[in-house]
Amino acid sequence: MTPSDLHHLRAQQVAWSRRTFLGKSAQALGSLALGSLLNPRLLGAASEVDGRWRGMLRAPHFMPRAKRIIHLCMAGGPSHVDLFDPKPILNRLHGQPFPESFTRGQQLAQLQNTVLLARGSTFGFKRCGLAGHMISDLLPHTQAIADDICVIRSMHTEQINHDPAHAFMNTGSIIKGRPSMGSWLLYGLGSEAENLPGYVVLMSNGPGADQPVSARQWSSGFLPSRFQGVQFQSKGSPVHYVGNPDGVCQSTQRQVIEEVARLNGFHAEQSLDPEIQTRIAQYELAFKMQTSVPDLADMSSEPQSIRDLYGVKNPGDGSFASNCLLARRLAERGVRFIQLYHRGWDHHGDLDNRMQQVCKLCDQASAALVQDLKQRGMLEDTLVLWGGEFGRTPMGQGTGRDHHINAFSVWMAGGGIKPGITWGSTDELGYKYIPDDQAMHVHDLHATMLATFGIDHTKLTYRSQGRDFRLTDVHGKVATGILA
Amino acid sequence: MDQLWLLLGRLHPVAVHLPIGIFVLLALVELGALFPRVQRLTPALRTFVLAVGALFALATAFFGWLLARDGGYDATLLDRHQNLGLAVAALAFVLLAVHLLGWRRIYGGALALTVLVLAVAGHFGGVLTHGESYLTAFAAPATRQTPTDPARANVFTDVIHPILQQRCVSCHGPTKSNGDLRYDTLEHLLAGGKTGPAFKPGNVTASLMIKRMHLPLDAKEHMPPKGKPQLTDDEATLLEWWIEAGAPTEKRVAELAPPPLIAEMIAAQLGIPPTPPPDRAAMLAAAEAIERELDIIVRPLSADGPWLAANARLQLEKFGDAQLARLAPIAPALYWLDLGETAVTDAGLASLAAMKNLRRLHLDRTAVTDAGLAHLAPLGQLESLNLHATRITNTGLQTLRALPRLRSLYLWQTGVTPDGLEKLARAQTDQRKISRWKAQIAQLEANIRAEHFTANLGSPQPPVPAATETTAKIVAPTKVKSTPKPAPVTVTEEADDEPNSAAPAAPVNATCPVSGEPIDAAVTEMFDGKLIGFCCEDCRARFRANPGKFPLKIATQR
Repeated sequence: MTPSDLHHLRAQQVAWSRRTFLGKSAQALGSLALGSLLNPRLLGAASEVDGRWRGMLRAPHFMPRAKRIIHLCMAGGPSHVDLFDPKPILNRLHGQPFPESFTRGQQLAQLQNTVLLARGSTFGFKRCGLAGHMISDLLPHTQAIADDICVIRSMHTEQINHDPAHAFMNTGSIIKGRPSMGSWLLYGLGSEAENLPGYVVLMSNGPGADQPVSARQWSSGFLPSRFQGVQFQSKGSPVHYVGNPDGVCQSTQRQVIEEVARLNGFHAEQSLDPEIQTRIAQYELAFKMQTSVPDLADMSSEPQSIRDLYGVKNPGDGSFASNCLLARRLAERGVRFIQLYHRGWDHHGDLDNRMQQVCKLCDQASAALVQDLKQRGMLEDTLVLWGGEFGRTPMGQGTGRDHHINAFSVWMAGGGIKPGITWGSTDELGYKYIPDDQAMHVHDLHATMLATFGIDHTKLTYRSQGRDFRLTDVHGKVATGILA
Repeated sequence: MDQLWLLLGRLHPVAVHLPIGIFVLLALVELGALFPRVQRLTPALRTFVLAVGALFALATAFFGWLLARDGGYDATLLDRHQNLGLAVAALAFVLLAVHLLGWRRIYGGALALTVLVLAVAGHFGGVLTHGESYLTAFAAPATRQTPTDPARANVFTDVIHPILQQRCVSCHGPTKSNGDLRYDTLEHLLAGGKTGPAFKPGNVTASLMIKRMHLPLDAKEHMPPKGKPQLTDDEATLLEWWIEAGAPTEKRVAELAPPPLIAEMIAAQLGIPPTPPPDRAAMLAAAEAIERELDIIVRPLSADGPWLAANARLQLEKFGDAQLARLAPIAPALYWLDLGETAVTDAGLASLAAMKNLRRLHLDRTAVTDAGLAHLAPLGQLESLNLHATRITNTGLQTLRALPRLRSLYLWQTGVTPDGLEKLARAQTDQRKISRWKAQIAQLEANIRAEHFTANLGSPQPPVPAATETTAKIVAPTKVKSTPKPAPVTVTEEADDEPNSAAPAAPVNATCPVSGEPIDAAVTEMFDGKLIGFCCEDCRARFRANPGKFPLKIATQR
């Protein structure tokens, strides 16, 4: 480099800094505020030690009950009146006009401006276990674990279409850019899994292809993106290209990662962007996953009896059952939030047949997961949540049912939730939740879920665009009655 | 009608304040009139006040008489109070007459006398309701001499009796003895009351005192009555423990060898401060150092307490006995400890002895055997223990008897049999809490049944202890039954092989399917081709009425 070159470069640097001084400092100040949330020294709390995120809260607000959660998301909206909430009066009204007093002025999805006819359930129900839950014959395996689950019948949400309803269930809002509940948990508590992402998503579907689920559902929104969910492949290897190509050994790979981290470190010092920290952490995690993922996916250690319990034909075949088994293995490895979507519950038509098919795909594995966790002693600190983004109308839509937000059912098991109880109720036609102290809005579900982790939902906040946000926004009531 | 009278009688303590107020205020107003600038009462107003006061005094005395008919009061005290109360009513009318007749000279004296008698009568009334020592009781704890060494304290005079004194004696004492029951002295206590003895030494469930204590607060018979100070949970537990121990009155605490939890409560009762929890800041600092050194996860469990959760599982075989010993600095603060899948051994478990506050312990899939469990004996607070896939057998399980708070045991893929678990459950001192084990025993049975079935062992021997490498072969599906109710257990082939079960006279179960108590061989019932034993006639009747309700419990067969 000649002296003139050097001079030129220096001048450019000066010009560059003059030009961008104001903008740069504004940006730096903004990211400093953000960075301070991540930087332990600025916070006085050791949220991050040796590159390991230990959670914003450092310690839960109060004694936790649960350490991890498995969310079995029945995407599409399972019909509550056919599964967990039998309505004899609805059956009696079958085929007759649905009482207008229930529906007048109410929001409907596809049944708007049509003649509303009551549609009874064609499925039988049994009183199950010592708990006496009424559970549909569609779910014989769930019937058998009745004493381990808490059925919530008073769920209600605000969003009547799939994508916004999923967003609402995940983030408590339909506005884009809000973090999902898994991201909130990672941000608050960190994850004990070091070699795997703390928030893993698995997808399955059937019968047939159903409504898609967008990846924004497990986005970290305005939280740093290291807290977003990572979708694993359900079929074959959970992560593609996890092995090294020919000619690259682990030590070479290690050197590359370290050098990239060093360079990224320079960049991080200059621009104070938390996304660079995310990038460094992701490289490191990806390196660790080169060994952890093959181990995770190696189902050969699962004996035939366990495969039979879940109903897995071929591990890694992309089925819900295989995902459930994988979920247990993820839970054993300390993953904080495991979310399984099964697309196949959107029954606008041919409900009777499709319900039978989808229940066949989901029932056994869901129950097996609870049982398997229980016999391994993991159910006491693993929360299992089973349910969709909304319910289905007690009014018929031809041979099916439409979307319904005023009432739906979910169940929870383990993680310090009282087993064997029914929480909340709906009116005599299953149209609307009863607005008593057992009513469960999605915000209330979030508040209760956080409470099982020892988190006061009003205190887990993140400042974005000038205001403090939380998962439950300005709502949320913990259902203390279902906490053991 | 009787109830109305009773209601009016109960109104006496309320009504009594009206004449008191009226006469005291009247006296004050008359005294005030001595000062020139204070306005005097007009004669008409005085007549009115005196008349109202006299009428209320009379009504109150009548209410009081109604209340006295209710009974339960000390006779002499009641007599005194009654006479003085009637005197007040009489004096009130005399006073009214004095005023109407215009005898100004003795009016002042008569008014003073009325107020004085009123005060004395009121005092005795107070003694009747609240007990003799009510006024001075707040000074009592200071004057009571408490032994500083809980072991040397007398179990009755220092621990149990103070509870009764504080909670019961105001209504069951020398001044007021409802139901003819008195708790103030030992003789009275043992004598019992109208409905018989207050308790039965050695039998908590048959003790009236305990029964009433546990009734819902709203129940009429609940004691102490709603509105009165209630027993704390610890006090109730202590009473139960004392009765269970045979209600000794002369023994020292040490002679009864109370379990650790009870010992703690006794110490608290004696006012001896409990051992303070470990210091939060010190524990967090130590935790961080250990986390870094051993590369395990040690986290505080809440934002205020010092309690920690440690997870060594992710280190797998890299975490062994040496590493476990390195946890010593945080041992008193450990609440949850996960050693599952690590390389800890029996010998290493000796390090657990210092973890006195441990609530949850995972030892699943380790090399721990029966010998190692002996080290768990000092863990008096342990609530949950995971021994899944270890070589534990029934023998080792019995060493867990010393753990009073143990609630959850995970024994899948171990050598433990349902009988062994049931034996442990029975050994737990608190028989009433045995129900919590039922589900776990059933679960174990279901597992073992399924294993026998699918592994096709076909022999009555207990399942081979599951060593890690053989797990794959022995583990069997815990088949999810499609029946909604827990399936009634059928007699397994092994049971048939036993000579005992061939004899028709022996019931197939050891414990009553209804109550869970041991069976009485004389009370039996044939059901579904099996002879089922019950603990009592009542349980048999309840079973007959609805046999389907109790299938799970028949499972505890021999």
